[in-house]
Amino acid sequence: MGVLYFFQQLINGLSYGSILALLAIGYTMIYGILGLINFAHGEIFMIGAFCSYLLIMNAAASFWTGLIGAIGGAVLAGLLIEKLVYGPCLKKSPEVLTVFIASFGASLGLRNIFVMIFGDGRRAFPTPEFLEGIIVTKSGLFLNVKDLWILAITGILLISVTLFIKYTKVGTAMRAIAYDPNAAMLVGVNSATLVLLAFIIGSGLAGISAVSYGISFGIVNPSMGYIIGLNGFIAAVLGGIGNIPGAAIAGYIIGLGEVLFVAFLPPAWSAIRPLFVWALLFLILFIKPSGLFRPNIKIE
Amino acid sequence: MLKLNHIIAGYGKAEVLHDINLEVKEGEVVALVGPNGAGKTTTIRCITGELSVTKGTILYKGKDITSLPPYKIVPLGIGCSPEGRNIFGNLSVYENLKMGGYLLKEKALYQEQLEWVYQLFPKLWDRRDQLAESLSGGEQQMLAIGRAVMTRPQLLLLDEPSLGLAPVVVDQIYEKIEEISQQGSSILLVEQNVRLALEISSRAYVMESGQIHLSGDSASLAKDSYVEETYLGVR
Amino acid sequence: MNKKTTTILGSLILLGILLLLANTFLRGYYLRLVILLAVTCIVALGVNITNGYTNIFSLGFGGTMMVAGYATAILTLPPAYKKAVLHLPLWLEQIQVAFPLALLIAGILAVIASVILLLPAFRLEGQYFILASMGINIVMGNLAENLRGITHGDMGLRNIPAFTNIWWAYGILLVVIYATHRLVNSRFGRGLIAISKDQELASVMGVPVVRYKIMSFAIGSFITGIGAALWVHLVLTMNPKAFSLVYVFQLVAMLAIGGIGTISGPLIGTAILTIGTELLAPLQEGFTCMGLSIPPVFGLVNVLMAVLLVIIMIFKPRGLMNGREVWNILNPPKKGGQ
Repeated sequence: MGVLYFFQQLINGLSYGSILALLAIGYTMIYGILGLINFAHGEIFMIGAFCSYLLIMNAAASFWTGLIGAIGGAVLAGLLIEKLVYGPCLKKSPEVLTVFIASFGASLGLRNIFVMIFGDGRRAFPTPEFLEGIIVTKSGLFLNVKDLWILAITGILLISVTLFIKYTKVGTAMRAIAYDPNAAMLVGVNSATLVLLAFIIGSGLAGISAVSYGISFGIVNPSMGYIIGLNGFIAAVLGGIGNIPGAAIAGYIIGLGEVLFVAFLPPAWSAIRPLFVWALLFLILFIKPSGLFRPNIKIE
Repeated sequence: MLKLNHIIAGYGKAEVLHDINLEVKEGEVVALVGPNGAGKTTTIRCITGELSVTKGTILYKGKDITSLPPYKIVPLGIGCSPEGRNIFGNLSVYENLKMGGYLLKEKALYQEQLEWVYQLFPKLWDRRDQLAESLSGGEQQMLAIGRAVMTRPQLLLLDEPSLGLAPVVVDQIYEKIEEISQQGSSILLVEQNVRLALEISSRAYVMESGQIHLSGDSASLAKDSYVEETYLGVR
Repeated sequence: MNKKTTTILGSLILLGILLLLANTFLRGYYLRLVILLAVTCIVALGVNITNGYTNIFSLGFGGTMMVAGYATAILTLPPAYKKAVLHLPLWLEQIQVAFPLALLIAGILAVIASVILLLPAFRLEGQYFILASMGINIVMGNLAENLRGITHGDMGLRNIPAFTNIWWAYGILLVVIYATHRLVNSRFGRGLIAISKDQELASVMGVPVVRYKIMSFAIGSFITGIGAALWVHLVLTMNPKAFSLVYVFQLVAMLAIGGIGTISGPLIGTAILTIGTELLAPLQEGFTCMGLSIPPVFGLVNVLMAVLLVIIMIFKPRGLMNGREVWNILNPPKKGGQ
């Protein structure tokens, strides 16, 4: 164990953190603009993974086509959920708990539809050749090309999303709606359109996160969205709900934290890995009940 | 410019407005005054489309806007500074104004308007990068009005601009409202401060319990004995 | 005797006869199903006190049920088994308690667990509280997997004495129904309902909000703890996957479909989901219909339940019972009810 090992784990953690960061943004965006927890976001992630898996395995598509397929599939899934579940529910019965339970129902339903069609077994996600290599630095550090790819793509996306949210009219409008949907309407913002946009962006990011997960962990199965989704949601809460940069940062904190925690933990204790995330959450919520950064909603 | 005909509206089963008729002519400043809970804000909400009207019509420049949602009202040239200001606390002052100009397509016009608002409210320029949350009450009100006039609306709806503000600040704000009116906007002003409202407006409506109790030109209303006793505290 | 008492007495006698018939004639599997129905109803009613009447949406009851489940298992397993499989202090190893006492202790431990685990989370707002309560379940599940000396890890505990029979299950169910009924119509109950509608208003009106919330948690946990113990003595095993988040969500679905805040709601919801799942399960195995062979589709039942849940949330958010009791079904729902 030493510096080298630490840096090795650092890269692993950042890679895992990237996956969580992209997911967390999806959760926090939807919550910001609609005030609801999209329980089914994990399933959108899973559907994205399956889309790229099927395209690559069954349709002999290239990796990049698979990636586009993941994004497309995830976005379609997200829009479908909005159209069939959230739209009607918010219109007819908008109470927080009702929507929450409906959201959970959507998650359960989607997950089991895929169990029905594909069975609950794990399938191996193929890593493309160009990402399979390992770079060895002069100091003896082993860098997986796939990790670098994940970091690069996530980095670009995060910067783009942050710029979008901060500087474009539409991005600012999304932040405005999160704070005061009524006032936003009064300046002419059509919240229905922006809601769809939030779903599209959030789901698209989930699709990319799904491919990253696929090449990183090598597995897809219908229940994958559930656990990872939960971690992504925790990141969103941790970062201050509705706060997009916050969610991303929190995603990295959890990713890094969990990997480093396990890496430096005596092996006999490794079963406690999932607890790290929760312990962190409880700790932070105890000190700062609204999350690390300022939530993007009106605080009464 | 604006005409409300026989408006009946309410929340759920509770009817709040019982047959409201009012009118704002081009270039006018019209005041809508009355006690708390009279239905003044409800009236504004009907105009902006936030609240659905049960019966009656709202005409703007001859066009029926009764059932239009808010985001379709604004492009027609109507701006609103709602009760409680409702600025976007998580955005900066500049971003709030940017939101005000959300519908402005041409960059040149947007820049022009932005400069005009900064000129009108120099304090907003000073604080342009500050989070709107951190502004004082008076500054938030200026921001709300500034945001509302970014589209250079022909009809400006102001709901309780003096609410919760110190008299000095209120005077400043009313100066600016006067300026905006002189630039050509018609204004419908909802106010609890009747004296101020009647000073700045040419006509006024007195609303009580969801009905128009009195109406007429402001100068005469100010001298009306009922108004004097009930709202101006003159015996 | 007035009409109401006659109806109740008559129904009880009818129930008794049905139970007797069930007990005598049903095969093991179906009998278990009937008993399971009662046990799940007990749990649902317990959750209903906190999540329903008091409107504190907590998902943490899975964790407290785990405590109760393991407690009753450890208290009733033969010492020889415990010695071989677990690492307990001597007094726990040797102890072997009668069923009623085990039930009681399980319930009490559930209460203690809920107070310790959930109280700190009280200061969190809505969404955060839900998340924290979910976390409690995961943490407890993880602890159960890892504290092998107490729980035997994921191998679980087996051959737990089969104490739960149809009379215990339905007997306790009736007691819980009666208790809930008395509770709701008491001052405490009305206080809970006031809190569920508007906490601040209730506080202003003199309801001791914090104390009542804690009490509602305690009572709810006690009932679900007893339900958990009954369950353990029915399925005769206990492992970390029992009362996991999956189970918690199933319970929530039952309450949502049937409707919270009433006695009939949880009962109807539980009945629909439990019986529905069992009836539809064969569909999943694959069958032939009119000469067409339909292959097994596992997950179908869950999909149908999920769809049902979403549809009900959209169109009947207060559940099928819509805030009414079965015996009031012809009356209009209470004005301003939950």
